Amino acid sequence: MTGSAERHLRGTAAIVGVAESDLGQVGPGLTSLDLVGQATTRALADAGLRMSDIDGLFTHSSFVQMPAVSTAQYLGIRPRLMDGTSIGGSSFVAHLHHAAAAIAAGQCEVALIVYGSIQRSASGKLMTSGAALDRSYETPYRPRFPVSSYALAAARHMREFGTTLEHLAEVAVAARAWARLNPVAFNRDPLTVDDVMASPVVSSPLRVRDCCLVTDGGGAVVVTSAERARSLRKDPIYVLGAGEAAYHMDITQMPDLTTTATVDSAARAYAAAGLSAADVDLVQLYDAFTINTILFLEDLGFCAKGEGGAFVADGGIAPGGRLPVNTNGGGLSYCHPGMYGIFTIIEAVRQLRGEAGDRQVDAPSVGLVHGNGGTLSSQVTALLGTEDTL
Amino acid sequence: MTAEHHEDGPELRPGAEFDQRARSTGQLHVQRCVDCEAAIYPPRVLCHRCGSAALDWRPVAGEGTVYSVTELHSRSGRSHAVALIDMVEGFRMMATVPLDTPIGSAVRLAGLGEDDEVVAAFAPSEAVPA
Repeated sequence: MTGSAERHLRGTAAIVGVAESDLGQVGPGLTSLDLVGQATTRALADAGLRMSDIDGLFTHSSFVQMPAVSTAQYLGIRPRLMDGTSIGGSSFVAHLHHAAAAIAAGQCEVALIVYGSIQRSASGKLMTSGAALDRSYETPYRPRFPVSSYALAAARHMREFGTTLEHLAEVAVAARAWARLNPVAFNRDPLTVDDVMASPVVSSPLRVRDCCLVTDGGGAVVVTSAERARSLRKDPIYVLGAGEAAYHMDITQMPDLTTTATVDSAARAYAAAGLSAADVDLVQLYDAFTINTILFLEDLGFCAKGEGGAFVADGGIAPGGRLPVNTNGGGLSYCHPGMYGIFTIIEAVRQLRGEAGDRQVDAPSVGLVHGNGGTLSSQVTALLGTEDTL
Repeated sequence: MTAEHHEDGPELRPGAEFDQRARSTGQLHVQRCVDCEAAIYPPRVLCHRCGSAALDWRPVAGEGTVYSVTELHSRSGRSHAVALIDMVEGFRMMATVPLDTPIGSAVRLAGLGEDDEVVAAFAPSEAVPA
């Protein structure tokens, strides 16, 4: 196992509260901060903490200016640490990484990581994080952002490794099968490989059913020291290690379209936790498009490069398959309000606590969460564990 | 240092010089690092490989290979293809190619269109005179 400068952080912080806001299409009149408020109130209740306990705030949004400041104002809190790290949909897993370090450093004691978006109600169009005023050298060619970038990666993966349209479809079908076990999933209708293959092409080879949902939704995660966590309502879920990486922003600048910076974020997280892929009981990863799941399972070490298609084939990641992946239904079928990262944490915690109802995985102790931002750009991996993993 | 001084120095306006060279010559030019020879695209004020600020401009042969490609289908039924081209000079750029141009195709610059910005159209090499 590679050494890690972050090994001393292993298990020093724990997640003590998680919650979603209302999800799906919340209807007119609610703002993104209203969903932030809903999720926060529910996560604090889950933890048995009060709003006034929060002294560290970690958030990102495409809906409000200076999100950490706007959020603090809305919640009526005066945090002594504010972190608005904005690296796209992976931001919230990065916030978890930063919160664990901040708690160990004494910069805050109770950290709130929170997100809310009314993307579906607002327009149905993708709100991207941060308006770009600088020129882009991709825009004049009229790719559709962000799907065309992922499509280019999918096309290259198919060319190099023989990955098929059926493999991509298997990812969407598995996500739907999990969603059918989740009462708050947005789309719970039956879905087959043939259905996915028959859906219209958006940006080849990706079809409509290869693409994530556009929903409203918010989520909140409360983190505190392991010591304080042991006195709270729920069993603590410990942060065992995390890692971040990015090689590019624009797809044109991605060195190898078939290998993401997840290779580095995962290596850093595994080293910090002293674990490997073989120790992981379940995976919650950012499936903005079906190719994501295949790329990340490879880069996280669950199969060799190029074998992701075979790994997901024949229900490999569906309920009853070889590895439980995106047990809430993922961004493809459960919820995708612009940025999905925080929901990977919420679902992993529920599974590790044994609170996942019909979709509960049998007695997991280590969960891996993985966030993606931009166009396969920023990658953040974290490992979470129950008390017996310490 | 005044704003006027910056505007006088074309080396400080790499994006504008990229456009101006393409428009005046009908040929793509990219920056090359004087110190490490890296081809630099998109244009910028430093070398992304070694950090050097010593850059000059070189004409590009206009030849490359399709690294990946996607075809977009709009509701109106009009389709277009967007490709990533690995250029022989060692950089990658986005460009348009004709529909049904597969990955691995040898392609050549077929034209420089004008949007607000320079738009490079590539086509299979056998279809474009050298």
